[in-house]
Amino acid sequence: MTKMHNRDAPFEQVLRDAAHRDRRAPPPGLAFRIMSQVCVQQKSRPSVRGTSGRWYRAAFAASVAIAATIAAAILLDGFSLTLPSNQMPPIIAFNDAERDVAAPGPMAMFASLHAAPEELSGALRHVMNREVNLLLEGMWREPQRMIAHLPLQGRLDHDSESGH
Amino acid sequence: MPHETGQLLDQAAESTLIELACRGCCDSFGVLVRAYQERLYNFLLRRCGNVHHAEEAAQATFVRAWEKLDQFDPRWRFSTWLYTIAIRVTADIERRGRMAGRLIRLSAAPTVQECDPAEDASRRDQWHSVWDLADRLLGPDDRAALWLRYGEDAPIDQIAEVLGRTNGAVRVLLHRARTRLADAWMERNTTDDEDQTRGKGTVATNAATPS
Repeated sequence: MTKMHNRDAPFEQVLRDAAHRDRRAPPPGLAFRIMSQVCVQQKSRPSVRGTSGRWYRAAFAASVAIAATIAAAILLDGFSLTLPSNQMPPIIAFNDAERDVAAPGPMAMFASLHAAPEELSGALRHVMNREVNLLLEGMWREPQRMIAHLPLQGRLDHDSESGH
Repeated sequence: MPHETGQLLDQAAESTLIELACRGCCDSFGVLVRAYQERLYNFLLRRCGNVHHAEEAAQATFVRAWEKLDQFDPRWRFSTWLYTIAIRVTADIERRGRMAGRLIRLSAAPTVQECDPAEDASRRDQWHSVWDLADRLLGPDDRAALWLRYGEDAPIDQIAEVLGRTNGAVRVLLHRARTRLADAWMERNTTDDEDQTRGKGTVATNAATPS
């Protein structure tokens, strides 16, 4: 190895001298072009540097994962809601007097719903959509009356009585 | 913080600038760019063997470094990290060039056989440097390793990190590249000497011949 090194030494010096001589200046404006690009990137993504960048990416990945899960659940119809038979969803739990005013059809459907969760899910979504539309319509036309009859107060009373 | 092109930064200043740039300070990164652009450009010039590709690669390398700056490990040298990115960037550029079928036509210097004698003579005059000869003779990794070793005085382990090889492999690569280049360089110099002697001889003969 030493022999090889000694033999190569003069040529190594040739390489060093030539490298020193041949060194070229970078093209004019190179740094400016680089910094223009860098600054544009920073303006478009202000918080993607350093620690905040990592949080940004983590939050973005988490939100994408959640959105994908929900979308897959809806598409595959695996998103079934299970409700206790004696508990109505609060938003549509009108009393009998209001049932005729607000939503006779859907409420009747709810009253008769004692099906298995998988059968419930499709019908429930359909009914919920209609109920929400009707409720919004009622709130728009007669807000005071609708609010007075929302089941929230009754449910709170019931919960406090039962010790929950 | 003004800084001249190519002027080396001390370790503490470099660490501070990197830290500031990590927090999003463009100006600090600008100082790093100005400090390293010449070294990186010359390295890429040897690696690519082509001015246009070297310029494109230098720009892409710094932009990628900016994007990945939060992944920089302070235990590394900044230059090593930069050259490692540069190697990947040039590989991407070469791949794109190959896909477009343009790289070979653009970057490869024409061989002596392809040129006519007059062009050949002028071209041989242009290959005045051993590095120009290396551009013709050696592969991209050989040239990059040689430049890092003799142009940058980089230690073997740094070259190994940049090229993604073991220290032993780099030693072998350097030895082979150097031997091949030295042989070609000697041969070229011998040929030039013979040409000069022949030229002088012709001149002497012409001078001796009565008109």
